[in-house]
Amino acid sequence: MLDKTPHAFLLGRRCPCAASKQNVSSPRRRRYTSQPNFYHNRILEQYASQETKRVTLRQLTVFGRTLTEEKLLKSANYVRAELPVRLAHRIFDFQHLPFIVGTNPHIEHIYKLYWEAFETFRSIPQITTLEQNREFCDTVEHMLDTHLVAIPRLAMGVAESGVHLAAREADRFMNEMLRSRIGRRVLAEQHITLSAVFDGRESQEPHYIGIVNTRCRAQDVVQRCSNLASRVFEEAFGVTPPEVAVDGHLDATFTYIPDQIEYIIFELLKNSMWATLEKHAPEVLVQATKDSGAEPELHREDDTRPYRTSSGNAPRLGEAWAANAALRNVRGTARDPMIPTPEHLDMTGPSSSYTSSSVPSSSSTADAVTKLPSIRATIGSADSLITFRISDQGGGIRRDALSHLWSYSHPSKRKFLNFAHVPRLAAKVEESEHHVVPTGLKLGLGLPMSKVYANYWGGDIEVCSMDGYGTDAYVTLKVGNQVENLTYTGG
Amino acid sequence: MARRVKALQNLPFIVGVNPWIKSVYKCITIPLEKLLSLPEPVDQETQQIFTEELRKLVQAHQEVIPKLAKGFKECIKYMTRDSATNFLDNMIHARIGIRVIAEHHLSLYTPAANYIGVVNTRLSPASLVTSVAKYAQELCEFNYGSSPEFNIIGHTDTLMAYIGVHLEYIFMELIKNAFRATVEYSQRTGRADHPPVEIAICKGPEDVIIRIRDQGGGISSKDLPHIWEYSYTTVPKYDEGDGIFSTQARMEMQSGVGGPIAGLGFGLPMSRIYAKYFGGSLEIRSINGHGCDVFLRVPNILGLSTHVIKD
Repeated sequence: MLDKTPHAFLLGRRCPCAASKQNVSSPRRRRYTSQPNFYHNRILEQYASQETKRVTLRQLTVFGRTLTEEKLLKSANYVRAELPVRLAHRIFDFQHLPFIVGTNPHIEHIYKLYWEAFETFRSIPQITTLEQNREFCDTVEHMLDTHLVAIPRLAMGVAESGVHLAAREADRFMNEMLRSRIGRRVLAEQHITLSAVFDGRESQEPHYIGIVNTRCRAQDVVQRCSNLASRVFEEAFGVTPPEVAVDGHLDATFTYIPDQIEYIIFELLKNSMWATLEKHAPEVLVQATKDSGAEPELHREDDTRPYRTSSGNAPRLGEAWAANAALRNVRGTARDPMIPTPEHLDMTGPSSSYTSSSVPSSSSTADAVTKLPSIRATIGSADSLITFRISDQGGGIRRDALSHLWSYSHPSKRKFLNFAHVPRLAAKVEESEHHVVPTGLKLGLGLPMSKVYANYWGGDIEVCSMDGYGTDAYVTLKVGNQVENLTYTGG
Repeated sequence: MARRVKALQNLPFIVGVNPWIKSVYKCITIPLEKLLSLPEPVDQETQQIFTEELRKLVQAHQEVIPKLAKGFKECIKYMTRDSATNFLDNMIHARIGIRVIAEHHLSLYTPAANYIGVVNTRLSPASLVTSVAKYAQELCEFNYGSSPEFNIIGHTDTLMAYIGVHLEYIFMELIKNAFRATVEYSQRTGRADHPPVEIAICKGPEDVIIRIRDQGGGISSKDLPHIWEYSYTTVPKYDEGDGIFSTQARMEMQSGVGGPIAGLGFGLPMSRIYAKYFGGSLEIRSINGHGCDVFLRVPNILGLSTHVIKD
């Protein structure tokens, strides 16, 4: 399919998905691999016109507390009926992108992937036995796995579509995509976990119901994330990371999906650590970058060259992608981008948006590093709100950078093209743990993705910066009976 | 000033009848007529007369804000909160402007070191904060019997150009709020020691940012949407005194350099107008059940213009 498109050369060079393409051979999926037919759209429209049935965190837990076969099958059929509706909404979104954007190979690939998933789920008949449920779970699991390419490819697609897609539109599109994606995965993973527990294939950890932890301890969340961030930091720079001091309501507990909050806190702590290093011991950072022989090909904040030049008059269909591919050919020489080593990657990521105005005078590396100012994590809990504040002295964020902190489309998001090195991403903390995301590689997704996660159950995340001193990030989670928040309202 | 008069004239009639508002109206119109009747100051003598009139005007205006505050408190049922907030925002913004121009003109006649008119060109936020905070501590001791400590961190050697009284007013309001919240939260939760209030000063490339961080329990989500409204106060009404630290004591705590305006719910919105006057900002982040961070951003005002007043 894809290989027959005119962009094949481009894919061959840059496609990070060679590995995943080999998975595309299951018979169930092959049935639907044909290009979605224009006249086929009627069915999609039927689904897209249906409202999503949103779940609440409490429904997830109450439902899963005492499982019976009947309840499990009910859950299966809910997921079976709900997924195609939600997918249809997203496919509808794809169809309303400008045509030129739809021809972007990354976007096109995901569009087709979504169609296949839609067709697969809508043709599954009512599930009436546990055996059928097991089969259903396998299908869902397989789908989850195949769709790990979605975030990287969407991000690259949007980054490449800069000229053709208004910033607001791009942000809205990405936001809806990611939010809906979280929603679908929550439903799917919850059902799979519940099924596995019911079958006795997996044992449920205490206080967990499916993937929901009913006694998530705020302090533990911070601790786990800070341990991991420290480890990643040490691996990258070989120096002691800034200490993370935790204060406030240490014993606060709440019901949440740990994956989601851990992703947010980890990203914030990581940003803070990197910024602190850059502000207080820039020579370590410089050294680390020098040692690794920083790659000119990687996309950094200030790297906007190819795009700026071509804005204005829209090139004719096909030419744009070809032109971009040509540009990339010039830039990226015959190196295999598939197997990046951490040393080869851009280490200056989020911190390049941080200022490093006052550089400490010629203190020796070791001295400077032992004195890295600590990061303070404060937990607040009251009125059904849990607040995390991550406060660092990493030099703050430039005022002009604040405005595009949450953007997917700002020229600085050329960093998204680094996704070429990360073909599959679930946006979970364990990916940093297991080096799915190479240590030090900056993708530029951390903050916007964190916001999507925070918004999902009605929470939010805000960043206040003291330019030249430090940054404070505030994560507010609503606890209690929160409904999934699937629509993007931000501007 | 003529614009302010017009704004007052456009208020609902019933509000204009309120004695407080009425006296403000007079307070503005009478000197305005006088000023207008004066000839253009061309020589030393007419200049003298002009300055004298101006001085009278400035004095008459001392009373304006408390009067406005009381007037609006009484009239709140006749106006929507939004329109009242808007009216007061513009009124006070303009008033600051009038006063800055007038006082600036006046003080040009009494030169002082490091001052250009009312602008202090070598203002140290750290030392201003220190003196304000010490004063607030005294007030706090006086009213509650104890007060929190404070530390100043960050770029404490920062110097900037700003109108000292504006900054002092804002600091006073913010620090008083922080101290009051800390002490009251300690009392409510039985906390033995008051955690210190942390004041961080940061000199950025274009402006100075001051963060005041307290552990006074934060602002409840119920109050948070209203903190910028005039006449919104968490201080209980006069007749709701509770125990030893009755309303009267709280009112005392609320006063200070702010004069009788505090406790009327003018502190925060007024501070924000002062902060915005030269293009700065004032923001609050609350950590529920823990404390507040207040971010005050003020530009270095040399070479900046004021914000145009919107009508």
